[in-house]
Amino acid sequence: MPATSDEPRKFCDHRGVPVGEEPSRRAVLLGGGSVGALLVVSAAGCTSAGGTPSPSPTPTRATPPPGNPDNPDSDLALRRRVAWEVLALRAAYTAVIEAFPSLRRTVSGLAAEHDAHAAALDPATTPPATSPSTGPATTASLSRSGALRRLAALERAAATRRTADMLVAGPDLARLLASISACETTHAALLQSAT
Amino acid sequence: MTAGHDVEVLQRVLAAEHAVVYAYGVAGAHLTGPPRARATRGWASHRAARDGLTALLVDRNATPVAPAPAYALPTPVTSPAAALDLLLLVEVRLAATYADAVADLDGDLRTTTARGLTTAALAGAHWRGGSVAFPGLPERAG
Repeated sequence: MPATSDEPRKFCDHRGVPVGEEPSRRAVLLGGGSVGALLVVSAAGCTSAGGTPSPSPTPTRATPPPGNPDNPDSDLALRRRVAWEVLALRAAYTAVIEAFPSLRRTVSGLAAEHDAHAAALDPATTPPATSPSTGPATTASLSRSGALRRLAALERAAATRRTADMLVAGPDLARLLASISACETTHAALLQSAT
Repeated sequence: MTAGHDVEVLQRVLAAEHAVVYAYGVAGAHLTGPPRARATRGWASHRAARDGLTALLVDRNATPVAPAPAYALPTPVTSPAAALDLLLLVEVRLAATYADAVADLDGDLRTTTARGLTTAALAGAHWRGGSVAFPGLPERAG
């Protein structure tokens, strides 16, 4: 990747201390663990005098307060609905593992991530019984690869719903839903590649 | 959200994409075979994202932030393993940048940045060899 000026590329050491003598506009690719830490640091150089990475110009996002400040009831209802949907998707995994025990190793990690999603959305949610549309009766008629493809399709559909849900959510819930959607899309790709 | 606010958030994401494009260039040079092919696709994908963000900023009469001439690497990249570590690191950090942008934007821009989060999550899963429950949310990692 060529630099955008004629000066040689300069790097910082692992603590972000500049290497080389010439002052230049540099950016730090290591942010010392701060969120959004692909820092671009302007003329001042890589670091503060103490050798720690310069603070990001943007505030880091600590644990956000829950809820939509504009409409907290709306966010709460959305959290509950999505949590229920996540657990219904989780039930489809349970059904597949019951029908195809050899798939446990492949899919149980993904299923556990849905448990984490549900807990993050609504800790009070209890798992539903096996979802009528995804239950063992449906799964039993599938082949092993058919079951994986079906889970992949359910994940894709869930991810799409999440991106619509996100548009009516408050900022912090939108961020959570976008992350869950990204996870579901990743699951779909992993399941597809396992077929 | 005000137009000025949107521009500020988009500039932050563009700056992050510039850094990732740079990292793919550095890492790709150390890879061969399928990882190199995947890195080449990732490089193209991030260049396309960069160009899309640039267009969004130009549409808003803003001057898109330029790439830095150089970026500090967390560790020297002198081996394929170090190259893969770098690619995972930058995708994880990029996902966090996009996730924060999702919170800070609404409407079409929220959708656009959520797509960026998904792309970073997919690439991160590839370099990691598996998924994580909450891509882009470091406070929920581990």
